Amino acid sequence: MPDLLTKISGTCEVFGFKAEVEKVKIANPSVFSLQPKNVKRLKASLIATKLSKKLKRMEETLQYIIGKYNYWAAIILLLIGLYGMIAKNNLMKKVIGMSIFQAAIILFYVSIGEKKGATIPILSHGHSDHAVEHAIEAVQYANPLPHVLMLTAIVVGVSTLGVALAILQKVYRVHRTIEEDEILETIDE
Amino acid sequence: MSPEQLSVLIIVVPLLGAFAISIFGALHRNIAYGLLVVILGLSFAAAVGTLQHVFGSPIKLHYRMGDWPPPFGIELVLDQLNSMVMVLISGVSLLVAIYSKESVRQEIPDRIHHYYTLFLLLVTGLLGITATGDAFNLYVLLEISALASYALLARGRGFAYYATFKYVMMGTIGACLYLLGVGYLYIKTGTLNMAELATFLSLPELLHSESIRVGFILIMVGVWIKMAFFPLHGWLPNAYTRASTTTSCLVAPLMTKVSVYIMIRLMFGVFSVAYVVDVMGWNRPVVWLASAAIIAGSIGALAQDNIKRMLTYIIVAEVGYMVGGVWLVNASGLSGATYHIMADGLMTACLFMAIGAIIFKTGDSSLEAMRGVFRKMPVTAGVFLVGAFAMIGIPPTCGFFSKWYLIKGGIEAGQWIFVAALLCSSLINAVLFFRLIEIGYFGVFDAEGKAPHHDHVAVAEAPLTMLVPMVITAGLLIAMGLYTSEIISGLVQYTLPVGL
Repeated sequence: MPDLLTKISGTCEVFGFKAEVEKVKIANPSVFSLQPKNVKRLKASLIATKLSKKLKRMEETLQYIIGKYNYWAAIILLLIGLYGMIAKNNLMKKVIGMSIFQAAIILFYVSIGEKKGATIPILSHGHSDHAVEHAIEAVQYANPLPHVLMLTAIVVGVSTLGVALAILQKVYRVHRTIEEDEILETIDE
Repeated sequence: MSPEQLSVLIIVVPLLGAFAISIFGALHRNIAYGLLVVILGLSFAAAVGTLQHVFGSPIKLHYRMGDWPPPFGIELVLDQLNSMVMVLISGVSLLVAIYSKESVRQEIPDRIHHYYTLFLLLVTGLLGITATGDAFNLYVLLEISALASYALLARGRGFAYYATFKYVMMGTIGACLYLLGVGYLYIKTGTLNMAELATFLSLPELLHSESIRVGFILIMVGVWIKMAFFPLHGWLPNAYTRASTTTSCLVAPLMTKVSVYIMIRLMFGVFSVAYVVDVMGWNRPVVWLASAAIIAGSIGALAQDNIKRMLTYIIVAEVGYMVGGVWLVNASGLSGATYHIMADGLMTACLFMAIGAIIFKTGDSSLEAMRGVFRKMPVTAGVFLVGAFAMIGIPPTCGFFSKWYLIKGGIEAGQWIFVAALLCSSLINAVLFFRLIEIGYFGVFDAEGKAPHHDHVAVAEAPLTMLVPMVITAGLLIAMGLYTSEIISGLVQYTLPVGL
């Protein structure tokens, strides 16, 4: 049935399935000798393959975003903070941007110590005589080191914020404003 | 006392001394001053003692904090490179501390003990950065020194607060980028100890990792912001110009040099020559950028009519010298850069102290106010001349030898733009300083025979507490030049990484 074949190929070409048709032809030549109703079924199955491929690609993309959501969150926060520090005219908003910027990095660190199904890293029998009997499996515990590091980084961040606010207060006392363009005007005079 | 214990004393003494000054310094200003000098003197003595132990042999001193072994605890590692930089830091801060007596009395009349507490905390932070062998500990100490320097710089004149606010923003971005970069390295290797990081990062599967590459870039950009490397230098001139005399004498020579030290340590102590050259392959662009920094800094200096501001632009150019020398990645260039950390620290201190003495007497640092000042202050003028000759690179001052090595490295690497920039900057420096010398010595007086602007003050020689450290610094500039070969063969040659 040459005309049916051409018909199928024609329709499939419209949908962009030419390569798939060729494959089906080679794999299963008997399909093309079937009734017109099978043509519909063939078309449906081809569309399904195409869709499932698209879905799979979308799933991979989603996996890429959701699976690494902690990094994405950190990046977004980081950029918000950086934007605030660079683009805002009000010095107080710059300080807020700086705080967000530091918080982003702290969250980034905290998130990398986390494991699925892990518990807090406290050994209940660590100091008793039976300590040897309980073999410690590192996999069961979250990594405490990034959290400990971030305690220090939080202290550093708070001190920086404190110094920045103190200096900002002094800026206000000298220039009577915390809008950057107005400060620059007073400096030019 | 073992040399390891001596090495930790360099840092512990100023740290505890900061508390002592904040408690006992309130009693009387002379007690605060005396304590400051004694504490920094002890720290300097410990630094010199440590340097003697590592001089002339490739040994490293390891000190474990709290006796925790390295991967878990923080260790201090002292080799030839850090001991040298630590002697520079404690030495320059000791000289500035002696120098500070009169100028602090004039500029910061109240609560002097708070000022000196911050002074010591800044020195502690800088010494800690230099000694530590732990990448995260380095971040914490970087922020300690930065916080102390924000507070010190803010107590200046004019719009110092606004200039410092800009510095706080830039400094925080720099430190945070460094921290983020260290996070990338930590995710990939699971360690923060520099020696252990170095062994992991040389593994072939990590050598070409994208994450490590991003970490390297983040760390470098962070450190470049901290050292005011062109084009990230915007915060430096305003913040340093507006600062009080003592603060600028302390901060200007030390902060940028310590950042250069961090860069050298991370590039060759954590990463390797192979990584920098083969994997990153950024040598040529970075050296071009350094050449641009040298030219931009020199031209910026030429445009200023305030001497202190002019010197801050020269610092930007000098940072270009050192970054360029390091990124040439050959023995001469790196030796030149390492030697230049010492030389530049001393000559910047020398020039800032001399200008500080002139500001102390005239209350002004504009070129106009300099007319005839050198005739009235002959010793200060002599010190300034030695500093200027070192900046230009006239032998036998140390500035000549560092430039010699840098140019040699540039020629060996075939980086002709860098060589041209160095020579060009020397010429511009000569123009800058000879113009100053002309104004200072031969500046015309007005009709009444008095120098302009400061006829109401009797301009005379600076007080003895200022003159002594200035003269010592100037003497050291010449002594360092004369003993160049000893410094190179005893210290600098051991700091060269494997593969050069």
